[in-house]
Amino acid sequence: MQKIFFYIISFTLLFSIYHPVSAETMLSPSYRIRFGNFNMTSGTKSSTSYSLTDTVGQTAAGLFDSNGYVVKAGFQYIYTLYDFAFAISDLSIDFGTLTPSSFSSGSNTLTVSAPGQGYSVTAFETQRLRSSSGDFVPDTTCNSGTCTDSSAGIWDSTSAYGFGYNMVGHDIPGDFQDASYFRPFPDFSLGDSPAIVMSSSAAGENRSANVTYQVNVEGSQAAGNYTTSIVFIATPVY
Amino acid sequence: MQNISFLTQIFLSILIGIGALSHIVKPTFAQSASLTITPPVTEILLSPNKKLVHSFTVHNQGETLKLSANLHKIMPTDSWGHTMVDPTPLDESSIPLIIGIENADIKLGEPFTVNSGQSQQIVLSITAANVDLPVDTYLGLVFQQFVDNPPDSPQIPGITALILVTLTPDGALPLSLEIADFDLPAVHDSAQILTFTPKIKNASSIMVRPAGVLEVVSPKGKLVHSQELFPHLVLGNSERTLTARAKDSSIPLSWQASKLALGPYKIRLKVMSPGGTKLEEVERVVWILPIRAIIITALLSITILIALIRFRSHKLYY
Repeated sequence: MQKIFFYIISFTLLFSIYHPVSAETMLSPSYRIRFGNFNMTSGTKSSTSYSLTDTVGQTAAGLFDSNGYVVKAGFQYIYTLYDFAFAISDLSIDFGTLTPSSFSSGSNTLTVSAPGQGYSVTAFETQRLRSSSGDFVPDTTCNSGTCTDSSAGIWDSTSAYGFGYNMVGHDIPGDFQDASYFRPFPDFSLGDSPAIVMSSSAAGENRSANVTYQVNVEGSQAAGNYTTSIVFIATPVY
Repeated sequence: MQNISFLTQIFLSILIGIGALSHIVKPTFAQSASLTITPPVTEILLSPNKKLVHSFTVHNQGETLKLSANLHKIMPTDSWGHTMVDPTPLDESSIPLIIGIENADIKLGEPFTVNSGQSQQIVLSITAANVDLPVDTYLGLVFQQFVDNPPDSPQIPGITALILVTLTPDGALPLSLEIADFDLPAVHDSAQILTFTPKIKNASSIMVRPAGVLEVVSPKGKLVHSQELFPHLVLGNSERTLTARAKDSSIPLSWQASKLALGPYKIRLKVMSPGGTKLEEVERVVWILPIRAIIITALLSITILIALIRFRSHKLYY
C-alpha cells in the first residue's frame, strides 16, 4: 500500500513539474471570426448603371468611393476565407562551434497562407557571415563552384567551403531538386537582388517549406563569432 | 519507525524529482514569428492635391515582436502578378506622393511592439502632388521585425501590403493593351482539352483591370463555348497571363470539344476596358479532328481486315 502511494506521489510530482518544450510556432486557432460577412451589408450589388462588390462597415477592406479618390482594398472579385499570413518557426539559428571541413547545419520552417491569386517570399542576407574583426565566411558556390543566388547546385563535398541554404516543401524553386542542392543567399551589402524562395500563383493555406542553412569552413578560417541576418519578406500577388 | 521511514521516502522522492527535472527538462524558447496583414492589396485612384487616409492592420499570431513599418518600391517580376520588394526603403522624393503615419505614437521606420495575439493598426495619409498627366506609383508597406543590431538576429521576418496608386487629374486614363502569346496548334484532337495561356501586355505606364471573354465558334457559326476572363490587374508596362473567372477564383482558360466536333473552329479572345469598351480582339482557327477516334477506328479496321483475310485463306485452303 505504501509502495503504491509512493509511486502515485512520484508520478503526480513528475507531471506537475514538467513543462512542455516550446519550439513550434503556435498558429491561428480554428475558430477565428472574420468580419467580411457579418457586417451591415455585403456581397455583390448591381443595377442597370453599376455593378460593384463591397462590404459596408469593414474597417479597412471594401470599396470606398469619394469625391477625388477611389480606394479598392482587399482582393477584389474574390471572397477570401483567411488572411494573408506569414510565419517563421524559429528566428534563431545557431551553428555552435564549427569544425573545419565538416558541415554544420540548422533549419526552420516558413509557412504562408495566401488567399487571392498567390504570393511570393523573397530572401536576402544583410551581409556575409562576418566576425567583429571583419573576417567573413564566403557564400557557397557548391561542389562544382557554379551555384548562384538563383541556381542551386549539389553541395555535399567537405572540401567546398561557405554558407548556403537548401529548401524542401511547397512552392519552392525547381532547382532545389533534393536536400543536397544548395544556393548562397543574395548579399544586400553587395547590391544583390533578393531571391524568390517560395512562389505560387494560386491561393493556398499553410503552404510550408523547410529551410536548411549549412556552413563549412576551412582550417585557416580565423576564430571568432560570425553572424548575419537573413531577411524573409512575404508579398501577396496583386 | 515505519511511518518516519515512509515520510522520509516521500521527502527524498520530492527532492530527487525536483533536482532531476531541473537538469533534464530545460524549457526551450525558440523565438518564432507569425504575422498577418489586412488589407493585403490596395488600389487607389487619386486626384492631384487630394489627401486620403487609409488603415492597415498587422496581427501578431506568434510571440511578442518588435516591428517597424517601412515603405518600399515594388516591381512586377513575372506575368502572374508576383512582385519584388526593393530592399532599400523608399526615397519619398522619388514619388509624386507625400505619405505619413497618422498614428500619434508610431513613425515610419521606428519600432513598435505588438504583443502576442494582438493587432496594431497603422493609419497612412497619402497626399497627391500636383500633376498634369496620369502617373502610377507602386509601393509595398513592409512590416518587418525591428532589430537594433541586425546581425544579432539571424532571421528577420517581414510581411508586405501592396499599395498601388494612380494619380490622375481628370480620371481619363491611357489604355494601351495588346494580346500576346495566343498561339494555338493548327490541329487539335477533340478528345483532349485545349488549354490557352495568352497574355495581356499593358504598354502604358498606368495600371488597368481589363475584362474580356474567350469564345469558341463552330464551323456553322454557332457559339459553342464562352468563358469570362478573370479581371486581373495589369500594372503599367507589364504583362499578365489571362485566366478564366470561376465562382470565387480564377482557373486556366480551356475548352473541351464535343466528341463529334469536326472542322475549323474559331477561337476568339476579346479584351474590354473596365467600362466595357472593346479594346482588342484576336481570332485563331483550329482544326478539330477526332484523332484518337480515327486511330482507334483505323487500328480496328486493319485488325478486322487481317482477320478476314486469314479467315478467307483458311477457308480456301480447306
